[in-house]
Amino acid sequence: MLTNKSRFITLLLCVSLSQAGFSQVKAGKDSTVLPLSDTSIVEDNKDNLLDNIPIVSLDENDNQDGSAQNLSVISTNANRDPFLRAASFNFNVVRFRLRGYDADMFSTYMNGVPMETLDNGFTPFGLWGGLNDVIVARNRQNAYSMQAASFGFGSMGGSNYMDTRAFKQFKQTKISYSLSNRNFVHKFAVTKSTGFDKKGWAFSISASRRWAEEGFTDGTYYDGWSFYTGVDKKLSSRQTLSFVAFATPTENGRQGSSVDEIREIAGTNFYNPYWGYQNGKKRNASVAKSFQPFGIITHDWKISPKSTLLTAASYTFGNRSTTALDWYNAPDPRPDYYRYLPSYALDPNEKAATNLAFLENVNLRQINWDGLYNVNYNNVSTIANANGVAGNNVSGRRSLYILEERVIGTKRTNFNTTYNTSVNKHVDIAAGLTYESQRNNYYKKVNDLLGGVFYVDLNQFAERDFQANGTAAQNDLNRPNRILRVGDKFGYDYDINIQKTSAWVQTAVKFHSINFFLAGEHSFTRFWRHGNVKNGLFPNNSFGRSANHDFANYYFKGGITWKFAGSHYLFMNGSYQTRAPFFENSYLAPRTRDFVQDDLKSEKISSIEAGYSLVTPIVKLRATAYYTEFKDQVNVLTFYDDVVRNFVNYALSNIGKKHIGAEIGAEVLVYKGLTLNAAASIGRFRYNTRQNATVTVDNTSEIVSRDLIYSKDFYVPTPQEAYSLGFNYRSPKFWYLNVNVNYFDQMWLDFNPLRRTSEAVAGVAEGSYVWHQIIDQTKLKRQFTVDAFAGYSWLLNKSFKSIKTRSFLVFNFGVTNLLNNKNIVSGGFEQLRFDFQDKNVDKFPAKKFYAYGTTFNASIAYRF
Amino acid sequence: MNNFFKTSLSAIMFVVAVAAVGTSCKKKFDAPPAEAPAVSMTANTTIAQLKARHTVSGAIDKIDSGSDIIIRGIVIGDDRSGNLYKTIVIQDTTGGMAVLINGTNLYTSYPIGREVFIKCNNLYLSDYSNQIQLGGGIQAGSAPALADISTSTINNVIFKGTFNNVVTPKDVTPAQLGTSMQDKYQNTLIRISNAQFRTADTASTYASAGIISPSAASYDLEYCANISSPAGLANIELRTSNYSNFAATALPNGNGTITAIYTLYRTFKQLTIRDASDVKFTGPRCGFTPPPTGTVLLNENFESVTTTGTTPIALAGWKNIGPTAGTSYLGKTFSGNKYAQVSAFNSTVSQQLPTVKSWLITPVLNMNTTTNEKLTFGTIDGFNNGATLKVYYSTDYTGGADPTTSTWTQLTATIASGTTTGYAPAFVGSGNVSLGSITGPAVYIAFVYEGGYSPSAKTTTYQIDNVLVVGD
Repeated sequence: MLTNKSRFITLLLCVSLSQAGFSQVKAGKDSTVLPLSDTSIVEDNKDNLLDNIPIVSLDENDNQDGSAQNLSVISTNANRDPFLRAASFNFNVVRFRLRGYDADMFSTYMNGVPMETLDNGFTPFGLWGGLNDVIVARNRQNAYSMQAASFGFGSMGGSNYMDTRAFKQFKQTKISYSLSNRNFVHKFAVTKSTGFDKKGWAFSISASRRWAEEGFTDGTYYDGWSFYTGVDKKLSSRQTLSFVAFATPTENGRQGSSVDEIREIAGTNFYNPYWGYQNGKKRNASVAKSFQPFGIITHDWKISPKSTLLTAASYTFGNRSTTALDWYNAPDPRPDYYRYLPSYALDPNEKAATNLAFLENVNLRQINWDGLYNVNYNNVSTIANANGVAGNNVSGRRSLYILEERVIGTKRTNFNTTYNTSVNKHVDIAAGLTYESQRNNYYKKVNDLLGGVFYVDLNQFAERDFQANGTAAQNDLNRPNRILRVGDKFGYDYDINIQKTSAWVQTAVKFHSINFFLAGEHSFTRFWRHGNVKNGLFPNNSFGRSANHDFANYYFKGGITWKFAGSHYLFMNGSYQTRAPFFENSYLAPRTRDFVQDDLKSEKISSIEAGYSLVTPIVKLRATAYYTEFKDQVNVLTFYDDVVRNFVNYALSNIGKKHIGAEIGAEVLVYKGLTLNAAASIGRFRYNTRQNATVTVDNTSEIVSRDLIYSKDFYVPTPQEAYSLGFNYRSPKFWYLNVNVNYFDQMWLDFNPLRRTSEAVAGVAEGSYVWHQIIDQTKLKRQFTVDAFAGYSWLLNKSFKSIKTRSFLVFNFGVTNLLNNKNIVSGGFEQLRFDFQDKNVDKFPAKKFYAYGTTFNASIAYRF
Repeated sequence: MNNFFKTSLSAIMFVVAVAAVGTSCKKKFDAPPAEAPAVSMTANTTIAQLKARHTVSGAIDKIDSGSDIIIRGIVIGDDRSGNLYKTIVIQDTTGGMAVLINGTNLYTSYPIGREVFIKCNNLYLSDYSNQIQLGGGIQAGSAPALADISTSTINNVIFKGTFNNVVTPKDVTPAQLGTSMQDKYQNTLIRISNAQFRTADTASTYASAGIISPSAASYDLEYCANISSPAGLANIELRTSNYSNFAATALPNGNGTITAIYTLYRTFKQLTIRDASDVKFTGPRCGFTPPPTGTVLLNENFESVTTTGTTPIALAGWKNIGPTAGTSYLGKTFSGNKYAQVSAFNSTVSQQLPTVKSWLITPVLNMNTTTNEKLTFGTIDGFNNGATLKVYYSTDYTGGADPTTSTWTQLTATIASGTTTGYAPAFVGSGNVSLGSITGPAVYIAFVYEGGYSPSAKTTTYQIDNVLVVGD
């Protein structure tokens, strides 16, 4: 088991095809008036699809993504970049990440406030999932890579700005329904926006529901509501005050990754270990729930024709949680636990019998809920000194299996102000100030006792290992032997507090054929842990406030663009920054104690890019080469090791990466309405240091070992090469067709550091087959996909003259993975365990997940 | 604005209505019913009959029969405490059987007291150094071994019955337990009375928690035919896994019954307990003579003495006479029990006395009103290198500071001996020392310690407790 974020993020890009070339757009001066023709049908199609991409839970412990869909939106509204357009959409099937960067290298702003969380730097896209109607492409801006932006300093990978204010929405009513076969099947949405009325008010409201009784994968389900409301008031001709609030209460049964062996037995690459039958009904053990309303107030002040000041404040609060089975001195309830699988049997007859049993009995392949209930029904026991009261004996059905709910409660306040001014016709200056404060409260609570009457707040591992120490097994010394009922908190309970203040300034200088800019940011980050329980193993390091961890950081970037021969550009950008470590990578085992990595320090990131671009009515082309280096990164991996029978933490430091590569994108108009497009991303993203691992076990404060990880030259697990080729035809009769062929190569599985130590290869002849088996990184097969999209926008007024208001019916249809390729490994990881005794790499094989086969999305929308 | 709200309200109503009609995804699950016991099963074979199929030690015999072979048993041993691992033990009226299952926490399905039916066809019988086991296959390897029954197929092999069946352990003496592979007590629940651990072991724990190799601890049991007879080795070991959750529990130092599963290792007899509560060694040890009853003339348990460790005992009526304070009888305490202790030992050479003779004399006893008086007390020796503790009585002593001028006659009592390092783990009973022949209105009993550093060090430490004199 492991909790690890940055390695397994699903950074999916999506670039809206906002300006796919519907030149008949005739937006008037007031851009919120419904245009003559519907320009947004392509973006609608793709946004719908991206809203419904497969989310695989990489491990049952990765509750980090409780709702966040971990996709990074880079809108290309501003620059119509042919590469990003392809990369965003066609590449996401294999979890392509721009330049191989982690999700924390991208930032997102909405209505003036930064949206990414402070705990891991990810943008929580799930918080506005289902609200595509109000996050329309034409209200997005972006700054790719190190480009200068007026809305904020941004992140090195790129920054995205979304304007969801009410007056920015189309003045229309839209009702839509879509049908799909992905995470959810149905989506129903209604949106109504007014634009400004005579008194200076604008309103917008949107609601949707996305649901599926069962999604593409067995045992999954989805039930998500989304609500949005926006109000604007023009205070004067120059000032607007806006408020938006949105909330997306969502519940879904998740899909888990698993090993090839059981996938082959189950006969499907979409095997899901999380569900099982209870009373004949499918029940999912990993249910994610999320409810985290968000509110933003924005003050937009055009101080003068040359200066603007945008000030915004936001507040969000709420919980994300995932459920999981927990058990106490009982057999592992997970059906794909390695000891249950045929490969674990040594005797060939037994192996065959086990294989047959797995084939024939779905209750072996899936969670046997009825069995778990029956164990609890029959386990009557007595707890002495219950609730810490001497002589208080509690008897009854003590659950040995429960469903626990791992909760992250978040409270976050942001304040941000951005000033833009043109000093003269050559010089623009932008500056900003940001304060962000976030508190996450992490705890577990009892969700379901599964037929038992109570559970006890004890650490079974400590109970076994420290028999002589009567208090070591207490999860909370302040409340020992606590009897737990449904809803009670247990296990761990701690807060992480993070505060960040930053200030930046940027100068852009423009001349006829040359532009350049320089920008700098300074920030201060502080975080600390606050324990709410006193752990029996770490009574002096678990309860109360920990030491502060403070980091002062800076970030410089600059760039130059040279325009020549009318439409040719040469450009070059560079940046250097130091960045505070995220707290998730800093604490060794925050569940039980406040120990941090040795020598915790800021990471250093430097990058440079240079390229050429051409923009003519016929050809759009960009080619960029880049080089990026990451230094001094840290990470913490946690997993259950059944040799020491405990949770083991691998605190990795000195992580260095080198990303080098090129991006090429081109679009050529070959005939009226027919565009050919091509895109390629060719890179090499590799670790360039030997990492240091400090190994600790949850049950002791001792350092088990300090290992050197021979990680140099290993690949970052995202496709190093991705190509796309296709055409787009748009008819003057308001329909379009878009087909793309995509090809991926040089994909590598995430690697297990334990296997790249001298201990792992001790006694193995260097260069032997086994030696290579242990240390070589697994390469995944190259893959093809074909996607096709089509849509039609029907202006009803043309056909039915009686209709007075301008009305459209918009039909969209998209098919991804048209060839129904079900063998695309979209990701995976080697389990964080190794059979040091027998050097058998197949004992803990890699866990993988597969891209869906052919999926579709069909939608119909009525706009008036 | 009014219009806007009307429109949006109706829009919201519409979306809620449509979506709600669409379906409700709220997952509600009934608790499944309790599994019905496998009532339709009937045993057609006894465990003894099944065991009889395995005759050659070390062989692995496949149970290959044209028809089903079904045994029925009650679980008498499970892995709840961790003392058994991947094993349950069942028994019927004819015998017992260890069943190897490739899983942990088996007690969750097969707890002690549960009835099980086992379809034995295609299972394998073998033995681990004479302990018969039922397994699921043959483990490949240099030496073929019996493999566990796989948990994936277990529900086709082992059928669960009713709970909470009581198996009464069979009362046996150690000699009744046989050492043949087919012994009827093997893998059954037995109970031995009057058993105890050796005194030297009573300071130990059941096993060594946290030690991986060796993974278990063994202790010889002592046994006596009746409690007053001396203990002898029972030729049985109690074997306990270091992974058991009672491994760190101290062995009890009393005597009593032990309920256990009887197993064999080659021809050595072994017992396996399910839990520490199977050992009820709370009574007095073998060789114990019950304290005499009658009129109490003296009863001193030393619980009122000052126990600084250097304070000579000063009890009303008692005389405590030694050459120095330090070599007098001192008040001491251990594990909450107080007693008198005497020793010639002194670590400072200049203070080491060549001879030490220390007296602890009881209050005066009137032996004219009772008959058949008896004296009992307990002693512990420590670092025994030859100093002596003897018991005397006198009828002419008058309670003075110099007892040597009176006539003292030695009494015969059992005094702890032989503990050359450390201390004897428990007080050794003196036996009933008869005082019946002594009469007089003023009788004194004295404990006399003799030791010293000359010619050689005799500095044995003695501890005395529970001095009792009763008469009829």
